[in-house]
Amino acid sequence: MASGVTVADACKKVYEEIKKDKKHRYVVFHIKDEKQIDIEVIGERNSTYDLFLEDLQKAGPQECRYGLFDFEYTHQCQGTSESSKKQKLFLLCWCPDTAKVKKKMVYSSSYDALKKSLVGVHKAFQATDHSEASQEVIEEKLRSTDRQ
Amino acid sequence: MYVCAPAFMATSQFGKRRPSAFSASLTSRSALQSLHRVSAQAREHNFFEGGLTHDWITHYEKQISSDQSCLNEWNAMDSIESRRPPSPDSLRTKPSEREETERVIRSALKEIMMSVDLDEVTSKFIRGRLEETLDMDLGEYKPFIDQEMLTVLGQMDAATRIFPHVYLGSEWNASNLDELSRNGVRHILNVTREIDNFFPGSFNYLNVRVYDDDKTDLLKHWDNTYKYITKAEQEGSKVLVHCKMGVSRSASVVIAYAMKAYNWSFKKALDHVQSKRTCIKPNKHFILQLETYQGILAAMKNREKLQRSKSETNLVATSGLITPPNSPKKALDTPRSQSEGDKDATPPDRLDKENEPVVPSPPTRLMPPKLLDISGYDLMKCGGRPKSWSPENNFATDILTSSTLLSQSLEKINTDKITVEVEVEVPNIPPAPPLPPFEAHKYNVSVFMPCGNGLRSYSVSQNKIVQLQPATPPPPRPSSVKLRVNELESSGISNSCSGSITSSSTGGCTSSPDRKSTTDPGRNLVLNLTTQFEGVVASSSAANSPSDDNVLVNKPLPAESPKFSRIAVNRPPSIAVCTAQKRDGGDLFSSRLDRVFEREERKQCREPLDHQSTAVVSAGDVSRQNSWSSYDSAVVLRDVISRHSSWGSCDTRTLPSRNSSWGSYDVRPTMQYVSERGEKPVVNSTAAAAVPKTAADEPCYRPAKRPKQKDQQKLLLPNCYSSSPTLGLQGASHKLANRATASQPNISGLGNTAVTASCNNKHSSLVRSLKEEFEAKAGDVVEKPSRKNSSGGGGGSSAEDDGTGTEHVKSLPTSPVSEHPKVTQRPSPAASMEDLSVRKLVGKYENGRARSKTFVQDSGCPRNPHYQQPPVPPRVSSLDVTAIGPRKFECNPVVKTVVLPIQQSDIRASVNRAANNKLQQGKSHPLTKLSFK
Repeated sequence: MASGVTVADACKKVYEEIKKDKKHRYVVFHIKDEKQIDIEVIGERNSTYDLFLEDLQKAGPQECRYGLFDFEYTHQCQGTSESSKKQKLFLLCWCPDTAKVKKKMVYSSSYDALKKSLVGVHKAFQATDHSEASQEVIEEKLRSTDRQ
Repeated sequence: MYVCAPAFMATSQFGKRRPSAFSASLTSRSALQSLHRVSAQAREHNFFEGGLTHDWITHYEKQISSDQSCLNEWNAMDSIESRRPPSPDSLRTKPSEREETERVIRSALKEIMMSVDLDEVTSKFIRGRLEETLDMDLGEYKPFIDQEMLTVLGQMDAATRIFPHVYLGSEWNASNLDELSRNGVRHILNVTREIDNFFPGSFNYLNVRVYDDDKTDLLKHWDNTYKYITKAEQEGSKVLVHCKMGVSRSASVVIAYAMKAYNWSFKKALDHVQSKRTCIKPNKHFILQLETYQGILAAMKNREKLQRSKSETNLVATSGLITPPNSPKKALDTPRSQSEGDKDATPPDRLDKENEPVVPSPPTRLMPPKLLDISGYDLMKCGGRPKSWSPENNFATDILTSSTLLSQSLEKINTDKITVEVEVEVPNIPPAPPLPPFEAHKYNVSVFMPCGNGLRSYSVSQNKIVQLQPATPPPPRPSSVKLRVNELESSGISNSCSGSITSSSTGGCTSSPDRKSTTDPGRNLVLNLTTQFEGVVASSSAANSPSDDNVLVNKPLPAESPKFSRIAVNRPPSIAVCTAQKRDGGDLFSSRLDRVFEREERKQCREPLDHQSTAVVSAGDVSRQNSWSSYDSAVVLRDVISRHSSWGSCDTRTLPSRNSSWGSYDVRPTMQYVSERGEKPVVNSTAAAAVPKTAADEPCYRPAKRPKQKDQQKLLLPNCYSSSPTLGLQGASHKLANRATASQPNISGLGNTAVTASCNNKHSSLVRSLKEEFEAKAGDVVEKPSRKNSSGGGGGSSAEDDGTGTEHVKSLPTSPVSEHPKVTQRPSPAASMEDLSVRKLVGKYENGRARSKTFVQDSGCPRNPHYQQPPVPPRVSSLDVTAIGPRKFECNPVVKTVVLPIQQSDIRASVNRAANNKLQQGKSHPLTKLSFK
């Protein structure tokens, strides 16, 4: 909101659905008319990360997007034989280099508003290209805070 | 702060043992009070950071010599997301290659971005340009470049100049040192939690660490931000208000500042800021807060008005208390007389002469000075309202004369509008006491005056009065003067008396007040006697007493008015006065309760009230006088008085206040008043009886003597007090010529009213019977008064009485003046004697009917007593006025006879004793009564 962009209530609603009810796998947000962050795409529960990235870039190389993904991975704590399944929600700000600086500006400055409105997101990343948004990189970042 | 411990201990004790619960609660409360006091003091003296008292802080701040980097670490804030770049110091120490590169990149990037169309350019394009410019691969710097691009982009949007000294900007504006220094910004208001202060050492920062979300309460910060911006403006600096984007939080802060600094509405402030910076968009919760802030500011603007209105309402309430017109008049008269007395020798002399017959004054004199001084000082200390205390009135007269006097007089006069009028008149023309007929006008005037001058509670009574006053006030003075002159001229006797007092009408007026006062005492005495003899029910006595008190104040005036009223003009005024009194009575009733509360609440108010109350007490004393003593009873009486007609209310007010809270002070005033009352009652009675002239003259003379004496002694305050009491009752004495004149008009009005109303009230039951009895006893006396009345022939019973009274007055003024000192003592004793030794007096009356005749003719005091009885009827109010009036008059004569003997001999001693006792114990009335008996 620092940029005057607000977060639609629908965003919070869908966030609750994905966080508590696990009804969706991911959500893609966009800034509508430079005023409000709204929902663009809601991914099915059985969707994959690749589909998520695809939806993020669907609008074109000049567009920025926010993405919310419920990332699942297995984690084996050190000294234990059992591996636990972990689910972590993370936010991603997709701002490709090919996007206009002004648009990047709006998204980056409005990112805080989204982060604050979606309480409980473990991590928030920024990505400008595929190398920064790949599943491996994301997983590594998410694992970084897990106990070894 | 220290208080806390005790408070907690107290609470803990409370929990542990119940017996101490009360004390514990008290302790905790006192602790809280102490804390409250300390915090209030801190606020008062600006004990806050940056305040004058905290200069030492800056001293220690100057002692800090640490590196800015250390200070930055010390001042590091949490929740920072946008950190300032590494400090130059750290770069200097270890200029890493990367940082050097970044610096180059930053400068290059800025140049590039300055040269491209930012609306169309992409970060990729810019990076390409940058690599081209620097001729190097910036792949590893990509995140840095992206961030820098946004920063530069943000800085491309210059901070917006909302006001000459206020810039509204974004995080990037706050980080753009060039821009800041170019704009002359030295103060930065950072309205974010997530953005660091970029140049902590170079700029003055104020952080409002809030997020831009729904839960943020910016409202509570706007006062500080306003002060900060204002301070920066005063220092000739500029302020950059920034948040993340300069859209919501900082914009809200600037709008709030505009609203407060320029008294703009929210809409106007928003439009203004928006016209300067189109991108602002406070979030809806900030908008709600801004609307709330608008209401707060509007309330602040109206705070003065509200306070004024509040004060006015208070005044109104007090005025309601004050309403009892009669006593207030006297009180007012007294202060004036004192003040005036100093100025004008003639009036005091007259008053003194008049007072002499009454005599009771001496004890009152003694007591009054101390009491008066104390009360006055207390009032001064309280800084509150002068209210009824005569001392203040005196001071006021001496210093301010008009304003303070008015307020004071009003307070004192509470019951009597007349007093107020008198005061008003006094300020304008102290020596020219408004004629009785004009009393109504005077009342109005007085009401206004108190309101304007005093601001205090008097206004309330004024309000009540105001209705009467509005038209009357201005005309009354001139008219009153004229009327007085006419009256003086018309009434040969009155003229002679006035002539003795003063050559002008004012002198006549003064004389008339004096007469009235004397008459009042007589009436009081009569009333007291009657009550005592018959053993009238406490209520009836209380009613009588209040009426008496009123009579003392009011009645005396009425008595005067009758004298004045002898002339046709006087009568009308008296009628007006009667109406006014009735009104006052109504006011008094409602106001009495208010007054009581106010008195309790406000000592100052109490003091003024005390004057009135004293008057009331005196009135009560009349009935109570038998018992004098008990101020406690007086307290009760107060209530009773309040219940009683308006007359009583004034008296009750004064008495209750003194009795309840004032204690010694109250007692003292009461004592004074009592003595004065004694006089006053006589006056009242005289006034009521219509014989008033003689009786009233005598009482008035007594007061006058007192003031004169006091003046001679140079005891202004004491004089005022003593005078005020006397004034209230005797009025004329304190107020001297001027006030006396003023009081006279009032008195005349009161007297008329008293005659009608008081007669009615008193007549209601016991009073009448008592009067009748008195009359029967003092047939001679009655005859004398009747003779006097007949001689006056002014009109109706009052006119007749006036006629008689005028004759006596003439004789009286002169004699009293000479005797004043002695006489003053006598009067007070007489008053007390009247109350105390009613029986004796009755006997004396019977025995000395011849004396009474002589006395009546000579001093008029005897007549006054008769008149005193009428005052009681006034309380009964106007119902029985006509029929009762005559009876009262008759009774009054009897009283007069009684009073005279008493005054001369036993009364003085008894009164003095009572006064002394009262002074010493404050609530020794019963004892005093006993002693008297």
